[in-house]
Amino acid sequence: MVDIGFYIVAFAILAGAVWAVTAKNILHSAMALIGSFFGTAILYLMLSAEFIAIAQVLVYIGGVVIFVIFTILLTTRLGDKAEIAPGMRKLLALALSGTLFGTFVHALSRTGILMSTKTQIADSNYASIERIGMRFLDPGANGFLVPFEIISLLLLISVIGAIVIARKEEV
Amino acid sequence: MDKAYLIMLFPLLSFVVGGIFLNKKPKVAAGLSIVMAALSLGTALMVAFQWYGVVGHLPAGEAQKAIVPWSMNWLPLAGDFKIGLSMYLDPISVMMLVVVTVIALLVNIYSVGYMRGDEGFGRFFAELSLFAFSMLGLVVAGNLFQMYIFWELVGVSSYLLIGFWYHKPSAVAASKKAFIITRFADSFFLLGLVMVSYFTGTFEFSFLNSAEAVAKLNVPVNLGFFSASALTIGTLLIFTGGWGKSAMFPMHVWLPDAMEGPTPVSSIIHSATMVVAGVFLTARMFPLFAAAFTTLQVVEFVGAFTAIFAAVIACTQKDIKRILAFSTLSQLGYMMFSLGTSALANGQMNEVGYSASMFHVFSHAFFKCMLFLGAGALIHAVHSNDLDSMGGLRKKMPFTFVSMGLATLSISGIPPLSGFWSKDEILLAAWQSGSYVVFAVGLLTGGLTAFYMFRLFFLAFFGKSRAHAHHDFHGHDKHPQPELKIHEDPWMTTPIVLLAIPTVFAGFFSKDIFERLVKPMMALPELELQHPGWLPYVASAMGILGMLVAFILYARPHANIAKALETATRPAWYKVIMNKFYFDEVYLWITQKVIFAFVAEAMKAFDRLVDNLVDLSASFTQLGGRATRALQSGLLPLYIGVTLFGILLVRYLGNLPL
Amino acid sequence: MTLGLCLGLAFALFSIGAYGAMTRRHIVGMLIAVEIMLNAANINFVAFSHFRAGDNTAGPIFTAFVIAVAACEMAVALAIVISMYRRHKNLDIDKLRDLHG
Repeated sequence: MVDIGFYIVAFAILAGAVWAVTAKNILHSAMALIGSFFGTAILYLMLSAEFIAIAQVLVYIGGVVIFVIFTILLTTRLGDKAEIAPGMRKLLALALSGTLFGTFVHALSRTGILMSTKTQIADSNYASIERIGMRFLDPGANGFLVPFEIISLLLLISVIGAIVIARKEEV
Repeated sequence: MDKAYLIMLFPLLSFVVGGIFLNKKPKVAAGLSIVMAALSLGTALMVAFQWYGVVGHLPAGEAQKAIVPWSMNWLPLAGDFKIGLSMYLDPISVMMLVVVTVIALLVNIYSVGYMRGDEGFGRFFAELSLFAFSMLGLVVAGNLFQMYIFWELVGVSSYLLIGFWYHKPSAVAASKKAFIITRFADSFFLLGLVMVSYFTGTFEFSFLNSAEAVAKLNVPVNLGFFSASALTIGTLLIFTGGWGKSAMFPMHVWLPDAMEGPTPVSSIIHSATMVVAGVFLTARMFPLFAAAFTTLQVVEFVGAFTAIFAAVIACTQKDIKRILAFSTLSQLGYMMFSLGTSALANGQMNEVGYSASMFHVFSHAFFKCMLFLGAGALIHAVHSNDLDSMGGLRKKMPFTFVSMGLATLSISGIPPLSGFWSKDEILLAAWQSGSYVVFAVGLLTGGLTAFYMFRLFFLAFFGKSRAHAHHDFHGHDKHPQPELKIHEDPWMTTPIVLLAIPTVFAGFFSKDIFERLVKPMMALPELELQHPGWLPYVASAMGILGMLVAFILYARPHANIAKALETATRPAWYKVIMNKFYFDEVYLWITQKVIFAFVAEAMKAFDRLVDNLVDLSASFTQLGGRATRALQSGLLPLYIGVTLFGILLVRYLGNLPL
Repeated sequence: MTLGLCLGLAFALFSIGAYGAMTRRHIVGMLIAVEIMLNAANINFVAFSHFRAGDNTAGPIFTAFVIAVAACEMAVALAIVISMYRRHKNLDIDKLRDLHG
């Protein structure tokens, strides 16, 4: 059962991504991105990382993509068509990304991971809120306390930065 | 004697320091040049004495020794075949060292007076020092290749000095002519040099002058329509270098034009030293030439013909430097044919020709140099080269008058001055070789020499002064000309007078030394040959005859000088001679119609090809530039793409063993 | 659902994102493609931590960090985009360049 589900989810994710990348209308692109992210959240659920799934939906979809849509709405007129890249460029890009993908797969196949059929090894609590919380606030060697604090600082800075940059110039 | 290389280094130092640093201080350059020339002379004399101490007491008949005080390995080419640098002192090198350094010093002193006020004063002394260095290097070169290097250097110095007044188009043309003609001849020299070294495997004189080298060269070479021995061809080619450099007919046309240079240049380069380089080369390679009978014949006839040809032309010239130039040509012809007369008809070698030729080089250097310096003094005094402006100068320039008189007597072969002794030896060699034609030519030329030299002498120093009868350069003939202040400059007169000493005395002091020491570098048996006792008398008689004819025509109290000097109404044959048999015009025609029209066109086409190729390579660079520029386009997607490409490259080519 | 399949998915997503980054002419389009790439990395992290024994809480933690940083980055990037739009009235990458190559 899980397998079919996985394939459907995977298909959704990929389809969303492909549409997001090739849509002529930017807004369509953003919408497809939302779909792709949803699929990712479901995938996280299937991987027993519930917290991450929720975080994905809240932050990514509810924050980032909404922000993207705002920007699009602020900067384009409805009905504007995004220009297409010249064919040569598309071909080159296709070649490069295709090679990249091939390299990845080739590297993967050499390590035998593809062949493994185990479905779950870790215990199902590995990504529980409790565990994540403990790790975040752990001041020891394996803890992520300092990065945690720094991230909060980063958030502050980026908020301030965004405001400064996007401020209307005083005439 | 191991410091003998200092002889050459002193003038080189003067050239480098004077040329680079002393442009603003010409007087210092001149002083440096004189000091270096004096040091060079001192060292040369010391070396000569030492050499004489080592070699001078060998018994006659033994092959002369050459001393090599310094040598170094320069270009090891292949196995045994290498080119080194060395100083090679055989009798003629030592003699030339002394001659060149003496004359260089005297000409340096003279130039202070002659070139006074010239804006290129400092440059002149630097170039003069360069020439001294090159000539000294030439005479002590130990191998053919080294000599060729200095040969070319001498040609370059000559070019620089002939064209010294480079604002004058005639001077520039003359320097180009000299350089091109001698360079043309030198290309054959180079061929000969390569050929000789190919067969013998070496460039060194010490080896080339041995019987082994002769044997190695005596192989037949097939040239298609005829075959000759490599010895003949090689020596003929080498002789061609001397043919051009010593201005033998028909490559003589550059020497009269070379008189465009300042007179000190003419006196040192084109009379005493550079032009005898050809004679020197032939003498240096004498054992090789001795084995090539044909080449010696060529040398003999070319020399003899040049001697009389030039003498005939000199009788009609009015520019005193041109007269002296043709006189030099004629005397060079003497030296050449004297070398050529060493081959006796029966295959034996007579060494008299060799030592006579070298002796004449020695004495000619002094009196010809003095004649040119004196001519320069005359020119400086009357501001003109022409005999038309001179006359009656013996009262105003007494020292010059006496010295030049002595030199004229010497060149005419009047005993007991030096010219008589050397010419006598040459005529003796000609008689002994059995070529009576050449002997007759030599005798006749002697008479002609006396005639034209005394013509010059009488017209310049006797009679009424014609100096102020000439318009000055600006053509202001409305005002009566003030008397030109004709004076003798002490800087110029001193060397002239000093040169009178060897002119008079070099003869009987050196005859003995020359006969004993200056011999070819090969063992020659003593030959019992005729020694006609009437020879000196006949030779002197010819000289006196020439002098008398000149006296009758130009110096007797009621001589019609004006008629003697005018040129317009002469008969046709006279005009042909006066125009030097139109050889210059013929050469110019060949150059313009043949060379420019045919050869130059091909070269132009080749030039265009090369130009287009260069343009092509430039456009490749432009293409590459344009392609590289496209990378800096400011296109963000492009940057991302390039980054990815780089990553992939690192993945696939990243672990190449480098 | 094996590790290999999840990783393959992540790779494919990354390649698609790369393609989009090189192809899109609208700036926001490029930003969307970058988002897709970040997403792919996240999947990678979580997949590995799910299928491996050992200390695998670090996986989700990293993912959380990436999400947070991505949010900050997008905030700043979009602020810049708005500012650029105000200046040039145009968001076409091909027209927004000063180097002309």
